[in-house]
Amino acid sequence: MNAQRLDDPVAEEAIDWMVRLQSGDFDAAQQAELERWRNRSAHHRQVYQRLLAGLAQFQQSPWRGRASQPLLRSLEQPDGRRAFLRTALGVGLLVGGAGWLSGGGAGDGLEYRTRTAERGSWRLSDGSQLQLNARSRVSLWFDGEQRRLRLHEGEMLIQVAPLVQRPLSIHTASGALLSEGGQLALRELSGRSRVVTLHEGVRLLPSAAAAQALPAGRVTWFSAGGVLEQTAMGAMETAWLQGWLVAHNEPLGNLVEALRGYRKGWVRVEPEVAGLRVSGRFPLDDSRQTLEILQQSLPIRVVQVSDWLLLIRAV
Amino acid sequence: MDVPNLPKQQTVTRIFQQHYLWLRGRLAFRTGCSHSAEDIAAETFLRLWMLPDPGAIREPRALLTTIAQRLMYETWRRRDLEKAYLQALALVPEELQPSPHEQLVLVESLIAIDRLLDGLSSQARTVFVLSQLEGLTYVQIQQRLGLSLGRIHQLMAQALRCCYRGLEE
Repeated sequence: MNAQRLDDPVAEEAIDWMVRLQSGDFDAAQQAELERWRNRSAHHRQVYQRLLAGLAQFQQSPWRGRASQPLLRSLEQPDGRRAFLRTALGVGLLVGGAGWLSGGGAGDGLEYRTRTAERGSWRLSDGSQLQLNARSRVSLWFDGEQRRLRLHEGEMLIQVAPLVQRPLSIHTASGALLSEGGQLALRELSGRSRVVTLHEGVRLLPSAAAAQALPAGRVTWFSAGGVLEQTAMGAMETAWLQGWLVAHNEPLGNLVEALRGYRKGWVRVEPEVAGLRVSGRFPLDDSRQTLEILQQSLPIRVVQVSDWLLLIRAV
Repeated sequence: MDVPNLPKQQTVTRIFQQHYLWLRGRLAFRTGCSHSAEDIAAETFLRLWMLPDPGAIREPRALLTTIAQRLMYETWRRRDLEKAYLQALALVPEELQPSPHEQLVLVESLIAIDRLLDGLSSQARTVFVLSQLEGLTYVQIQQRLGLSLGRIHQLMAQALRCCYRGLEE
């Protein structure tokens, strides 16, 4: 258990000090005594430093100064970790039950998918035109009463055929979009989605927020909680259809995310460089060259660890 | 492009060549989705690569299984916490709700806090959060929760041990 005493007696002393320091009732004399304790040895200072580092998570948390009720309620969420790891290891199973990553609701739709470095285009039974970027997957449920589509991963562009009384609903992990007709592009990322509305007539229904209409010519990022950010649409939003990746002042992390479908294996961007801004026009079908250009123009190093793993880190 | 640290790279590449397809197949069978399986398998090897000395690994498949399980666990836990947070938020009056962007940042921190305080009792968690995030003194916590000061000291010590250990992993 985590709450058990620590093996290092100096660490236990440090914790004892910290408990008193945080009480709200710590005076100058105690402060001086703590200083003397800290200076007893390098080990004392080290231990104290480590404890401070552990607390930094809280000192820097955006939850500081907010009502903590929602946080505490969420932490009450039962944690099956130990039970899960025990069962999984004991029986040698990895997971029980399918569909745990797709967010449920997979069902038996008609499926369209593209593989790594592959794009695809299909005419659907209702007359709509569907295009998929690399490593993308979509399921469809079309009948006389409904037109429903789910984007599981990747990026799609659809020219929606207008049908009276039968709007197309497009579902992602974060919510749904309703389109009466016209063109829209949608990309699914972890925990959020990005929609580009090329025409009017699209409504956004986030899973846990009120519905709203999306104006034409906008890029909207949304999560289950609602709209995260809305900007004007760039001229080259659908450049991927022609094999280009076009960025205007885009974080490096987003750019690499868009490239991932074009590379086998895994690309990892270290957090300290993920926020670097990038502008330019890059060839999707030659991701090697794209990475080369990025390395030359940004303070980053692209490290090919192996065929299957590429690291992007600070110089 | 740079190619670093050759012996380590060779070790991991060898493990990868021998076990990648096995791991991916197993994950695909269990998750029912080949794309997710590919992602988890790749991330598993990435974690393996980040270990200080992959050359010392005796049972690669046992270790790969353990890492993959932990990754799956983390994905589940993240989803549970996100859902719980959205439910808790529904109880907050609308004018006090954070913007969707703030919500995203809050959830990230929630996940980090959950990991750090793993295994701690609910009472100790509450005391610690009131002290560190709301900035209450022990006397104020005593008034809020009706616990003795001695008990609050004990619970704070438990939580601080978690924070101290949290950096080991």
